[in-house]
Amino acid sequence: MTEKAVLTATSISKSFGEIKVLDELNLTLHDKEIIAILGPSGCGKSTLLRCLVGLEQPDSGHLDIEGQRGSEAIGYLFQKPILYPHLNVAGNIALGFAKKITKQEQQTIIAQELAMVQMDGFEKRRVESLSGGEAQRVALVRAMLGKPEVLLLDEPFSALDLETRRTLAGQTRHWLKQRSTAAIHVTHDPEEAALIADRVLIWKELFRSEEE
Amino acid sequence: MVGRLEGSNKASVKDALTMIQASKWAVRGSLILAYISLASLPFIYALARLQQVTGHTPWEALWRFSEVYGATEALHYTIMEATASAALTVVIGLPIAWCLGRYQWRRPALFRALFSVPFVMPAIVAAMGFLMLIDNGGLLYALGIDLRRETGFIGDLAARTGWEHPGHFIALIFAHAWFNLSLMIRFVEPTVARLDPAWEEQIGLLGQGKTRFGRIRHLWWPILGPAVLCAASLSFLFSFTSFALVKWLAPFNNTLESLMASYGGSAGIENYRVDTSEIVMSASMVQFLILLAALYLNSSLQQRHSSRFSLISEGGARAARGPPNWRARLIVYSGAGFTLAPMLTAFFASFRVREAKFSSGMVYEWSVDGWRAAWSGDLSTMGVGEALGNSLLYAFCTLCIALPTGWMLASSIHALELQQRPKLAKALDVMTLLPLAVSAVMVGLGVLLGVLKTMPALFQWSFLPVLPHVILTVPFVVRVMLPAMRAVEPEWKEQALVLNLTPLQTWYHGYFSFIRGPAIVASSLTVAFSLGEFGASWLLVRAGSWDTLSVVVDQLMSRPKFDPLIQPAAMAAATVLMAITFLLFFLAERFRPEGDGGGF
Repeated sequence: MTEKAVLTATSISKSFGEIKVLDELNLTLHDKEIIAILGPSGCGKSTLLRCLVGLEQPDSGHLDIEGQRGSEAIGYLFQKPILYPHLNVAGNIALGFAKKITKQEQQTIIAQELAMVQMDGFEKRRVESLSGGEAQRVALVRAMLGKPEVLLLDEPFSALDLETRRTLAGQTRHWLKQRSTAAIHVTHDPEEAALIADRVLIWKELFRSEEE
Repeated sequence: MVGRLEGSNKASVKDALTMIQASKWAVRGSLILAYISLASLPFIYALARLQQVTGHTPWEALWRFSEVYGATEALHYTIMEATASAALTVVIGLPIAWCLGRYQWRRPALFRALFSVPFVMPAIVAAMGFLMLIDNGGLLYALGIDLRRETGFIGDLAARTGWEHPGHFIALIFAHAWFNLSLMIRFVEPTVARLDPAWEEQIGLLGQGKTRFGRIRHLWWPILGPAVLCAASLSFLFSFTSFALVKWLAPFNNTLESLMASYGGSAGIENYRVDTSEIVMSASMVQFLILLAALYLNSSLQQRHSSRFSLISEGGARAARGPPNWRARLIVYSGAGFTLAPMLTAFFASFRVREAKFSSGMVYEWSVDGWRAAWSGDLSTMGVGEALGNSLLYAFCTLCIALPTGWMLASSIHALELQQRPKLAKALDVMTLLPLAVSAVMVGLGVLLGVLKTMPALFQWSFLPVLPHVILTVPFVVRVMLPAMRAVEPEWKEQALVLNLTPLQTWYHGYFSFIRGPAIVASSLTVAFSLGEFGASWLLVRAGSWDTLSVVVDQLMSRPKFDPLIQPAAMAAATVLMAITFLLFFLAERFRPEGDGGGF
């Protein structure tokens, strides 16, 4: 594994009113590395990812990210797949294109991407007709379309059944490795963390100082 | 239990259930038929009578439209003012709905209620409010904007462009926008207020959502577009059929509705002013076809305006976006000022009496003499108390008929939808809207002619105005009740059933408790609309002596103003009507379910 860091968070803190959610958090993600952060529900895992992607501003600390926060350098996969019901599968994926390309090119890329996640021929399907696993795969394809340096996965498989969760975790690892995309996956499921990640970090460990 | 029944018993239970179902639908069917007859007969009667007088069929009348005196000009003016009014409603209402829905306001319900009040305000009250705002001595007049007599830069505009009465046109479209503002708030604001912020965050993280235009194109327009168009089409429809506002704010121009009203009094009489019958017949046919098209468009848009997007609790969504910034405050507070201005102006005008000494120019003083005059009435105009009694009695009777009728129609439409008969449900849905496509003046005329033709004795019956009021308010009851019925989850009823509750308890806890709030809202709307109904009452009570409060306001304002108490008395009557409507509406708003939108 290369030692080049694509994301470094140093002493990140974030509070909501009186509640301190992140307190001096430290984290390093290396190039092409997949790490899983394991922690109980409500501990602040999602807040960390939202700070990393720019949806929340940390109160203090320093973030060093390859590429800018909020730009296409970072992809984000929500816990619940957000697919717009007024668009079909292809229309939803096309939202992920960062640059203008022709319709023809768009169609070709979308077909290739869907084939990669074993969803060939799903282009014209209505999003309401997709199963939870299928919807999450479409959201994953869309998030990967901008070729992000880092992909942040906010418990994207938590609402799925055990079998689908295991399958998708394994497949996601495969797709990420195929594209050499670094990723941070947060979860409360140790098995899922082990399946997807190169390195598993326990939530509490993120708050120890470098010296410790 | 059923599993233990043997073959023949099973069949008999099935037969019994089928029979119960069939008899239920037989009752429903006959009630629906009765309603459709009630709603369509006045129009048919009116047309038949006009056909007899003019010798032309309705279709011939349609072809002869361009030859009818004043009709083409009226149509042109109606389309112009209705289109401009709808556009202005969007321009004023959309930013308010957006800002109100988006941020964490201290009392959003209060603002929502305030912006919704104009819609239930009687048109005659709105007309009086705007008249006081633009007339000599009004706020706009004081600011140098003379929309009434069209002096100053409005006069220059007319002289330079050759546009006749631009001031009246501007006043009219602003009054319509004021009136229809609540449609924009009702349709757009709940969606903005409850949209899961994750949807917005997601689009911002995607390539196509990086720019504001991209976010509008891919997220906001698909979500809000149908709601905006829906509100705009209804705004067009109500501006198209508006009568009291046109009569008072644009007195030198006719819309189709005001044209029909002007000539309606002498229409339908054989060998007398046949031309007026021709005008009413042609205008009503053209109006009917245009409104039918607008209703069809609205119905299609309403189907697209559905809650497919993930909606969360209003509090959660607002909290995520934080308190309003200065721009949002400016927009919402200005909107509140716009909403309150005509109502407050009418209220203050009721205390402002012109002094009868002209030596030192026009002098005004503050007094309650106008209220005294309004309350006591005189030989030609009924007192406010008596007229209010009439109005409340009519409103109560209207409520007693319109609420159960509307409820039955809404539940029938919903039952058809549940039985997977969407076409039949849609047909019935559109049919319930039909009275909105017929002018109130035509309904009044139809009732008048129908009664004269069938039972002339009924003509002396003082409750006759209830009939057009019922016809005109039932569509609103259906519009409020139907979405509420659709929103009741079957699981609630199933849960009540498995708890072994009695049928009455099951109905109450599993169904009625969910639609009680909307039923109260529908009741208050019915009463408010009946109190403020003007077009049909105006036509009917001209032939009788059962003046309602809205007719009294019109009668007072129509009298010569040499008596300085006439105008304050009219404003006092309008204030009473306004206060009752306001009170009713605020009481009803407390029962409106959270996030209730897309309706009235």
